Amino acid sequence: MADVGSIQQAKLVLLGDMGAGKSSLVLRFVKGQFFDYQESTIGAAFLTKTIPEKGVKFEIWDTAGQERYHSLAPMYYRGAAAAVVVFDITNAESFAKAKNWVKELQRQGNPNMIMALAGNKADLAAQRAVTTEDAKAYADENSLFFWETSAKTNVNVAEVFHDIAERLPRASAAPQPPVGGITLTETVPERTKKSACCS
Amino acid sequence: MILDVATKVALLGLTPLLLVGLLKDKGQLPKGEKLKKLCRKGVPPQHRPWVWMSLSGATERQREHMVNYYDAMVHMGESTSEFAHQIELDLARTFPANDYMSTEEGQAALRRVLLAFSAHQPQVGYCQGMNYLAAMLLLALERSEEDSFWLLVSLIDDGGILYQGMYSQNLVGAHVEMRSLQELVDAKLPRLRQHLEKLGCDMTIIATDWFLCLFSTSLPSETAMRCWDALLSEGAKVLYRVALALLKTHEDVLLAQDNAGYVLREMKLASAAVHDRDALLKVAFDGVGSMPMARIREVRSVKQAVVDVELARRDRSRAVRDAVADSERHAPFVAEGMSSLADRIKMAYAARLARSIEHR
Repeated sequence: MADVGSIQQAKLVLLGDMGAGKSSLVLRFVKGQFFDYQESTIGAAFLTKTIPEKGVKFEIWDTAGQERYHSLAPMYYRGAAAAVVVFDITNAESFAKAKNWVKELQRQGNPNMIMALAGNKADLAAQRAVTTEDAKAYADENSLFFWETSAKTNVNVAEVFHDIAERLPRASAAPQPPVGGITLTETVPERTKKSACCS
Repeated sequence: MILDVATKVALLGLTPLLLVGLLKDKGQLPKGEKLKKLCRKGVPPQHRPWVWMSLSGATERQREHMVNYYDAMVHMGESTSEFAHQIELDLARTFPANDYMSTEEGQAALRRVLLAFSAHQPQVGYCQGMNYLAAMLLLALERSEEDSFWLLVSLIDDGGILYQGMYSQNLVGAHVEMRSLQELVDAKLPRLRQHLEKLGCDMTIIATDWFLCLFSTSLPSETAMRCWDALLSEGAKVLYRVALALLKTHEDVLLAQDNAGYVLREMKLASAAVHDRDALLKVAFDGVGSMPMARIREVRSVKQAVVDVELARRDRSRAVRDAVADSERHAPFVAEGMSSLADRIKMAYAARLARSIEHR
C-alpha cells in the first residue's frame, strides 16, 4: 500500500465460482447499482472506491469465475492486500469452489493478505444450500471474515469492505509489487522479470 | 420492371464495389484480394447471413454433415451435456440490454446453440465467452440457430478460423495468442511496451476478452461486426490488427496511466466509444505495418511451446500438492509422541508419490 496523502491504496481481488455474484457485489459497493442480469465477466474488470473515513482507496480486480479461467487468477491476486472469496448460498458447489480459492490463496498469496468470505444471494435464503453455520465454522477455522451478503438488496456489502479496510495495516513496510505478468506456474511466487514469463 | 444499377445500389444500400461481386451471381462471392478488400470495407448487414456463412466455410461444413446434424446435437446436448448448468447461468447475462437476447425466445435459442456445440465438441464443452459469440451470431444471422451453430463451429473447431485451443481447458490457445500479441506490441509500439512493462501490465490483462469474445463485449456492436467481416474473410490475424489499432489510437491515454488497473479501465472506456469503424479499420489495415503469416506462425509456435511447458509444470506441482494432502489423510497419526514418526511417514509417502508423478 503506497500512501497517497492520507489515503492509502489497497489492491483487492474478487474470486469465486461463475455466477456467484462477484461483479454484482463490486458494482453495488462501488456504484450503488444492481442489475438482475449482470454480464458475465471475461478476463477481468477494474474498479476503484475510496472510503474516506477509513483512509483507504480500494483498487478492485474483478475476475472471471469459470474453472478454465483459473490459470489467469495468479496475475490478479499476486501482490493483493486483500481478497474477497465469493460463493452463492444457494449453490453448494460454489462453496466447495470457494474453499479451493481460500486454499490456493493461503498457499500462494502473501501471508498478510486479508481474506473475507462472502456468502452472496442472501435474499434467496429460501433456496439455501449452504448453512450459515457451516460457512461460519469454515471461515473461523481459516481466520476469514465472513458475511452473508446480498448485492441485490444491499445487505452487508459495504460491511465486507469496511471490515477489510479496518484490518489493513496502516503503514506497510513492503511496497506492493504491481499486478504481475502472467506466469502459469503457481510455484513462482512473484513476478521478477519479464523474461521469466514471456521469453 | 428493370432497375438500373444506380437504383439497385440505392435500394440495397450496398457499396457499389460489393455490388459488383453480388451482381455476378447471388450467393457467389468474388475471390482473393478483391474479396479481402470488400470485406475490409464492410459487408452490408442485410447480406451478412449468407456472406458470413460462405466466407467462414460454415456452409461447406454444414454440407459435409447429415441434414439434421444440428437438431441431433441440440437433442444430445439437452439430454446429456454436463455443461448445461454453466450455460444456464450465462444465458440471461449475455447482452442483457439487447432487445432479442433479453427475451425468453432469444435465450432459448442461445441455450440450444451452446448445448449443441457442447455436444458437438465435448472436450471443449462450454467456455465463457462463447455465449457472446453465439449471441452475436444469432443477431447477425437473422436469428438462424442452425447457421449460428455452424459458424461457431467454423470459428472454434480444429482447423477453424481461430487459433487452436482458444476455449479449451486452461485456455491454452488464448494464452498463446496473448503472448504472441505481446510480441507484436513489443515490436510495433515500443513506447507503450516500455510503459506497460514498467506497470507490470501485459497483454493478458488488456486483451483476453478481446480475443475470447472477438471484440463483441468491448466494441460497439456494429464496429465489432465490421471486425468480424474481415476476421471471417482473412482469419484470426485480424484480431492482432484490431488490437494493435486500438492500442495505437489510444496510446496517449494509456501512457498517461500509472497503474495496470487504470490502463485496463481506460482501454475499456475508450473501446466502448469507437463508433468510427472506418477509422479504426484503416489503422488496423494500413497503420500497424506488415504482419506476414509466416512470422505469425513462427511466433505462435514458440509461444505454444512455452505455454505447454508452463502448464505441464503447473499441473505437476498441483498433483504433487494433492499427493501431499492425500498422504495426510492416509496417515492421520495424531497421538502424542507419534507426531514426528507420522511426519516422517507422510514425508516419505509424499516423496514417493511426487517421484512417481514426475516420472509419468
